[in-house]
Amino acid sequence: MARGIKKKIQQAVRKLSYRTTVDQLKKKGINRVNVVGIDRISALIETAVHRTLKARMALGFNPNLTHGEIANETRAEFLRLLRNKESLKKVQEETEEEKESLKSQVASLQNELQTLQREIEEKRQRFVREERVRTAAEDQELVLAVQELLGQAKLGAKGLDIQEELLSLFLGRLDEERKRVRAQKELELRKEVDLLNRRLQKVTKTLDHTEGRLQEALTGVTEDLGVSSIYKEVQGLSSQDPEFKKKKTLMTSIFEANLELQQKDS
Amino acid sequence: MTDEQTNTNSATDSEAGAEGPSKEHGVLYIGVDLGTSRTSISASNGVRETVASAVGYPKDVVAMKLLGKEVLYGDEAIKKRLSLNLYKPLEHGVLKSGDGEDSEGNLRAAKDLLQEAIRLAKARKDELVYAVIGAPAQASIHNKKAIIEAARESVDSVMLCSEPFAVAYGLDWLEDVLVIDIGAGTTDLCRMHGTMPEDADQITLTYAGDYLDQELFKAFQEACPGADFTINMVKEIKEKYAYVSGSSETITVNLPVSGKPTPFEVTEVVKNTCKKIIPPIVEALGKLVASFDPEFQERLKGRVLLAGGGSLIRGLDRAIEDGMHQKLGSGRVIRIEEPIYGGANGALKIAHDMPEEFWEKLK
Repeated sequence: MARGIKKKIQQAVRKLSYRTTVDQLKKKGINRVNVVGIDRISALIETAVHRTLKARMALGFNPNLTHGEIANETRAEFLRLLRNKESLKKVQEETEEEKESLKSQVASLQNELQTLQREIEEKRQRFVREERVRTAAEDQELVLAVQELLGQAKLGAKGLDIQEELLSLFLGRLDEERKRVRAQKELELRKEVDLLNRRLQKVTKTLDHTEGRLQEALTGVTEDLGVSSIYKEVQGLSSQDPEFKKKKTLMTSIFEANLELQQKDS
Repeated sequence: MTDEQTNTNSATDSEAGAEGPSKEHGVLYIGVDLGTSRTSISASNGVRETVASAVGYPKDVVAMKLLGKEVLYGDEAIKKRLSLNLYKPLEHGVLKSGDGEDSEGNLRAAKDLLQEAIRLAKARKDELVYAVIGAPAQASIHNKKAIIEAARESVDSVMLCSEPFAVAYGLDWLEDVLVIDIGAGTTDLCRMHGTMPEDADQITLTYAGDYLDQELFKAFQEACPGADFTINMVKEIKEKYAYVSGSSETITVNLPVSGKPTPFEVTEVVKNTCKKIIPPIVEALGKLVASFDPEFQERLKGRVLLAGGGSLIRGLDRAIEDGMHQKLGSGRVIRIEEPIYGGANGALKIAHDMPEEFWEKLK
């Protein structure tokens, strides 16, 4: 049954459409067109009719409602559905693009981080290696200089003790200074790595969020859209209502009681 | 362009482009029936939902991690109550009040429940949302303010109305009608005579669903020796089997005795206990009829509407009619078609009929 209706809708839509070619459109100055499949149109019409009838039935059947009014409501529902589909597709495409862009950002940052970490490690090792060689040479030079200086002073047997004390003092101070410089350099390196780690975490979080949005768009769980009301405007009591006066009085009483209550509230 | 594709109307594009965050794309009306046991909503987008009036908050971080939510509602909250601080914020038809933490907890739960109910209506962000909430007839001003405050956070404008009035309005029965709305906490009786019901037109009884649960619990303790059961189990049995007149197939329930499910036949126990709410209702109907204009008393007796979850007790309409015949000489009771949504549907109709300027003034 439902299949038959769908087929009839498709036939009707096809009958109402006209055939044209790309060249003919170009001649009219049209270079870009929006294209929608006939299946989608018929599905939207079907949904619009069902939703309108469902909403009507929920409010109780109104025998005063004309065919024209029902047709208008259905048309409005159809347009709303069409807009929903369009915005959903747009969100989907945007999210896909955003996701791809973020993915590449993450990959590039991960590469950057790895390269930097590798470089930093190499630098640190080289620095340690070179420092070891340099400090050994400097220490040797210092020892020789001290020995030479004390040799010239001709201090005799006492000279060896003084030489040892002096060397121990010099080398101790030198070592402390070297440690301070090394710590400072390591701190700078660590800051650089931390900064990169933070950037990476941020991008990864954004990627997770985007993937969530994409999933929502794909499954159609875009709760934000909600379900459209059948009313475009505020309604109010119809003057055609057989009990208009009585109902108007009741509405006024309810309003006044609420106004009093809410004024007390404020 | 293939045969299966058609050029769309360009008017659609311009309409789609106009859609923005401003609320100019429609009006969603919501009718809410805030009940002790269940809260129901009907909306002008065709959505109708009902949720048990229970709200649960995880007891600790472990429970929160396990449940994956900060707040649980309805049957889910009841089901997972062991991990939750569970609140049933309405009692005897009104918000539970008192001092201290429990009162604050109930108020918070009531707000959360109301917001959840409105959320269930699936309102679009670009639509105005106007709600009418059927509040218990006996709700205090403090209670009403709390309800309005809670709803305001989710809607553009909100009004309260009396629940039984909403039921009658929803069915277009505005004159010479008696409404019996049997909820969990209270049974509200309301006399309609074309104007807003006053205090003298309303009677509230506590002979309602919760009362029956307690009575059935006591009756089961006598009728089912050795059985272990809770008030929730009794409530489930009541909702499944409750009846007061006519014949019923044998009601057999399985209750655990020392851990082993054991069958008990409770047909008469259920019937006799459920019948306990009939005399007070008939008594109250008598009072409302007797104090009405004598010229219209006969008409009033012939137009009694039975609504609320309690009206689902099989044979209750007939039993009340019998009681009215005995006490008042005549009576005709009509059970409304949708007891669960009767109040919400009526509130929705009031929302629809409310003039625009009234909504605007209450924004």
